[in-house]
Amino acid sequence: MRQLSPESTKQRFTPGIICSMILAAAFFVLFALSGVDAATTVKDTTVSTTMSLPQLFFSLSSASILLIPLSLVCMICALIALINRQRNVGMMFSLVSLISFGLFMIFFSGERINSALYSPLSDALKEAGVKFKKRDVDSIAVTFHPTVYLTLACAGLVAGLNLPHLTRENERRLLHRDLLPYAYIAPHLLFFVVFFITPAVYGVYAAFTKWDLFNEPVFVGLDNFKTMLLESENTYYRQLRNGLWNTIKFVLYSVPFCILVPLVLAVALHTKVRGSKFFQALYYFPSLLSITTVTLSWRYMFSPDYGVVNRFFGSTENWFTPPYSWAVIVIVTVWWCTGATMVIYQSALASIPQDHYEAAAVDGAGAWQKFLHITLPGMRYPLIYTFVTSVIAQFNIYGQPLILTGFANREANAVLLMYIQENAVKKQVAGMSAAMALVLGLCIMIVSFFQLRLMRNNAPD
Amino acid sequence: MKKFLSLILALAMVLSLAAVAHADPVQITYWSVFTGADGATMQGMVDAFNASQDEVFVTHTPMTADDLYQKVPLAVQTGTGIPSVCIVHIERIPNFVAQEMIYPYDLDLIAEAGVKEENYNSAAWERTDIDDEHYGIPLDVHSYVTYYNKTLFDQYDLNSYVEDGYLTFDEVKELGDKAKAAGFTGYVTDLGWMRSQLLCYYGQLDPELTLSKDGIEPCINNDNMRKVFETMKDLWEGGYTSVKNTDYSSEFYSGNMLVWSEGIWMKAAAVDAGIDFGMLPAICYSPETCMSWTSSHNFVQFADENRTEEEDLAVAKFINFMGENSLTWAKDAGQCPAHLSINDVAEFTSYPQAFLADPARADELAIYKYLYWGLFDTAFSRVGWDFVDGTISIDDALAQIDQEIHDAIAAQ
Repeated sequence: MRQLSPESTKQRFTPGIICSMILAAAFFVLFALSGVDAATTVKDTTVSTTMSLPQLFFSLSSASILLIPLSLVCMICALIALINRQRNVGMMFSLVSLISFGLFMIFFSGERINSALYSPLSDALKEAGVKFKKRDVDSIAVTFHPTVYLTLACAGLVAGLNLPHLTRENERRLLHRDLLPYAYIAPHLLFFVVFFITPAVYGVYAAFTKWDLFNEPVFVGLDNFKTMLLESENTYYRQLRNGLWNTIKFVLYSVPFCILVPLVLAVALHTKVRGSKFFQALYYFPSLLSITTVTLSWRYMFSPDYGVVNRFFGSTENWFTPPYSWAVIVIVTVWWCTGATMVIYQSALASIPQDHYEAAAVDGAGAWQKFLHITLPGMRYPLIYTFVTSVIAQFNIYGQPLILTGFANREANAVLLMYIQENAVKKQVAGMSAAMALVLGLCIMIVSFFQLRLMRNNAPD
Repeated sequence: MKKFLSLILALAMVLSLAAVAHADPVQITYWSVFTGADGATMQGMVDAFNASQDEVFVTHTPMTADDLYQKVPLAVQTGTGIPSVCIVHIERIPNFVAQEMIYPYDLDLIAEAGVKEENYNSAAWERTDIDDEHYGIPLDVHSYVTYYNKTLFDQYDLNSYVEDGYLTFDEVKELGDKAKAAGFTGYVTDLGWMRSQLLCYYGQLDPELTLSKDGIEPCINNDNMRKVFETMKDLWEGGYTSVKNTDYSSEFYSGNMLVWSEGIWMKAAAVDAGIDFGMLPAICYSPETCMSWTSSHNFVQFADENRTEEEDLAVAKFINFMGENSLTWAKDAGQCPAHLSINDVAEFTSYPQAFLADPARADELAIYKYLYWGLFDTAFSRVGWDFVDGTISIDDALAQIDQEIHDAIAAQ
């Protein structure tokens, strides 16, 4: 069989490819201009409304709408493939885009009552003076604008223009070769788009809305950010500052111990003392438990009334109040995450050549000098790696302070994720909560950026 | 062979006729906020209902209140998995109504099943009359009350303080001083679930239970609430209360506390602890103005356009059964049933919480009604011990509560 070079799958910019690229671009323009008309009749009163497809997308009001981002992402991939002159790949993505957009139209028009459409229609009925309940609305009739069909047609044309001639063996072989890798990653890609890209995009959008989780979000631009960053009297200004500062404090307190404690244990176990395997399993065991189990167990141990800690020391201290509360939270965290880090260090220690130690011993180096000049440099990369992962993990602190102290002590241990969760779920202030989450995400990204640079600079050759 | 075939045919006909005559029961899904022992008690009541008839079959799904209040809006929003009937706390109902999340009851329809206003505790029933519609059927009323240790009261000769059936703040201080002078070394009383205690005392100063003047903007920062906060702080500073993070229930069970402010739902646990106790309304400023913070578990029907009238009627039958057979709920869960027929049950009248079911004392039940109860609850509970031990001043605490609610409403 003739071998195909990787370059052979790329083609020249033919009129077909250029036309496809224009159609793919038109797909997005038409999508942005598309909309639906909706109408319903309640108690002899008919009301109607119009909603654009982008609005509908951001309403996320039914499962069928999840097909829209899938269609959009696939068309973006198709466009990128066409720019790279990979017609088969472009055809495949545009075909998936076509199918998902078509399915969206079928499922969406089959819905009896869509909540995004119900909201404006309900307002219109109220304005018309109709007294009604939701169950009085039999159904909402949906009519797609012509641009919706044109959007669908664009996707169809992109796919059609790039269909290979399956009768030709060479094209069949090319198709097989081009698409096989995508077949392998397709399941992951599908879940990635539906369950990661979509919520992420929606989360970012929610940060710019006023939203009570139940009704449709209302776009408010930068209002949420202005409120929490500039209005010093506002609750969310206070919460952001307090939550972020407490999160940073926790990272500063906990990360050194999350590295030092496992390092000491790993070095100790590396000496192959009797029963080292048992202790290795013992130290690793907490990592297998859920944070709720771990924190509740420690909560009982530190209980002022019945805790084993106070019994042991004959104390009556309340460990869940300042100045002890941070110490307790750090102890619980370190106990929980030591095992996983320790295993990484053990692996790194095992990879340091034994003859380095033997040579150092011949030169008269003591244990401390060996540790400082052989062990630590030999573990440089794992240390930096665990430093980076620990910082990111501890920025996401939530369960420990929530269970151990909650919002008590004038929110002395309230971290940002606690505020985010409470605002979104309990108070239904989801827009502001998403904005807070975005700020936290940006902080983690900035810190991670510098850490990753550090890691790259210290990567082993 | 012919005979055999005839026999088979006849058997098939008899079986199919039997199947037609025995129609499938109406399936009802029921979500409740009862977990642990209360969940088991409720399941027992549901089982009793299912066994009592064959027209309706109820499937009970218990979960914590937090879970339920998160899951139900999602179910309503997506239109799938909406329970036929659900238990919610009465304070949540105005907000659900404003969000159009629950349907009003068709009073004529439910009356067919025996569910009628005159059968229920008026204080609880009236709270869910909104805009000429009715939204909740109360299962119970559960108040924050005062338990006292009878053994200790006998030992330190304190019974004169509770003879009138009330205990005032001044009396708590006096009896505490008297017991301590006689050698009692435990706690006089506790600062327990602060939110509920504070709301008991606030109701005594403001029987209108005003949390907002216009129904939206909070007005917690007022003189009455300030006095309530000062009362709590005064008790703590005087050494009459338990200290922060005390396991106050265990202190009471172990005979180390004279007077215990707790919910009636802890009665069963107190009985299990083997302690001899009495029950009174909340500690009060004076018996004439005494009110106890009260909530009520209500049956509501969340918006589901697919639910049929047949199901609504089946739900009403279930609710009526629960009302008419609520002694178990009073006995095992320690609650006070809202169905007035409970007052005719001799066994119930001997229970310590029976005074809460007395229609003549219905105005002692402080059942709050505020559109933004959820926001109020979170903000109000937040300051808890912080104002008592001076971590935050009372003025700052009150201002913070109003600010938090105001900002959350603005951001919703």
